Amino acid sequence: MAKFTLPINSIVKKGKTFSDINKSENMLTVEIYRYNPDNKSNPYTDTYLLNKDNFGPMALDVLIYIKSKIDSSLTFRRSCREGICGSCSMNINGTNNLACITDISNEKKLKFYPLPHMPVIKDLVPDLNNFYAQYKSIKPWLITDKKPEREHIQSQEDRSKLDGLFECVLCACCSTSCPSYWWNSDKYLGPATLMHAYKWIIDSRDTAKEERLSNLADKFKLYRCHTIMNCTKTCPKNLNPARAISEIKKMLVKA
Amino acid sequence: MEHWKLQRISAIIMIPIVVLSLIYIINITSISYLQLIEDLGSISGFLIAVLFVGFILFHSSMGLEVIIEDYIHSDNLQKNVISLTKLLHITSFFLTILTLASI
Repeated sequence: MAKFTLPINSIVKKGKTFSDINKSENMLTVEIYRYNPDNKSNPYTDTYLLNKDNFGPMALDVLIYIKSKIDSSLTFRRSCREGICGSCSMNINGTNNLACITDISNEKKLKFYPLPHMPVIKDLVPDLNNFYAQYKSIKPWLITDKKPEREHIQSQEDRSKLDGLFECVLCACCSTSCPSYWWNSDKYLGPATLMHAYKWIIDSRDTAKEERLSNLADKFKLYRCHTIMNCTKTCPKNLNPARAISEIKKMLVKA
Repeated sequence: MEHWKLQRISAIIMIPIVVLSLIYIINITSISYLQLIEDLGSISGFLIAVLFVGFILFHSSMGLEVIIEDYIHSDNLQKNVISLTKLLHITSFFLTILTLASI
């Protein structure tokens, strides 16, 4: 049944305020979602009043500064610091983005929340098990009956068709910005997974196009996409998952 | 896939029917009551009105089915609500035909 009320522990309360600022003009107010399931209490938001001169220009620099100087219990994922690993995906000022490539030099206020509508493991760390299981379900590897002596050869033209698709780092910003994915994440594959599926479908080296398409021809796996296009709007890598999904739909019409 | 395809096909078919009907509705003030009754009572008027209402109801039924699938997660309740909306749409369609035929 549709749920019209929120679970009691989803109500976010006000937490503590921390300050390390001495009347600086370069002040940044940071609000961060905090949740620890071990405490068996509601999530809350802590507020940090910081001097921007103390850290670098990216949102991830703020989090690293808070964790190392103010509150070591703050939990978030990060790794590459250059938008390649996709680990630091989170909701920053209302938009899903990678913290490491979000420029905050012009910001006075920042709000950090975990990716929307995902189970939270702790603070800014969402549970991505379902997301990865869905990715695995599309068989994200080369399927071919050809056995070349060396590598699988691909023309430059065929290779260029994969541009704008292979750059996806599976950060889940797109999927977790999609209302269809919010309501039906157990059945709808979501934009990230579908874009990867499309990449394998059009890869000239792959010979399982029909099998891949027939696996997607499902009213929930694919057709829950209602072309809302939040995915394309939010993608930190400026990719276009909505286009990939519509291309799959067009292929299924012709198939 | 069929559902998605039919939804698009019905939307495309509706374009000329809706445009024709809208032109007629916009000009309705310049038509006398007797002329209106005569138009709807003619075979072409009857067919256009039936197609107009039929495709709108068909498209609406398919759209509502998608919305219900989106938001109602209990399988039984979902099936029952979809059946109910389909029944309401079919009833509306036959009531329209009866009304137009009685002109």
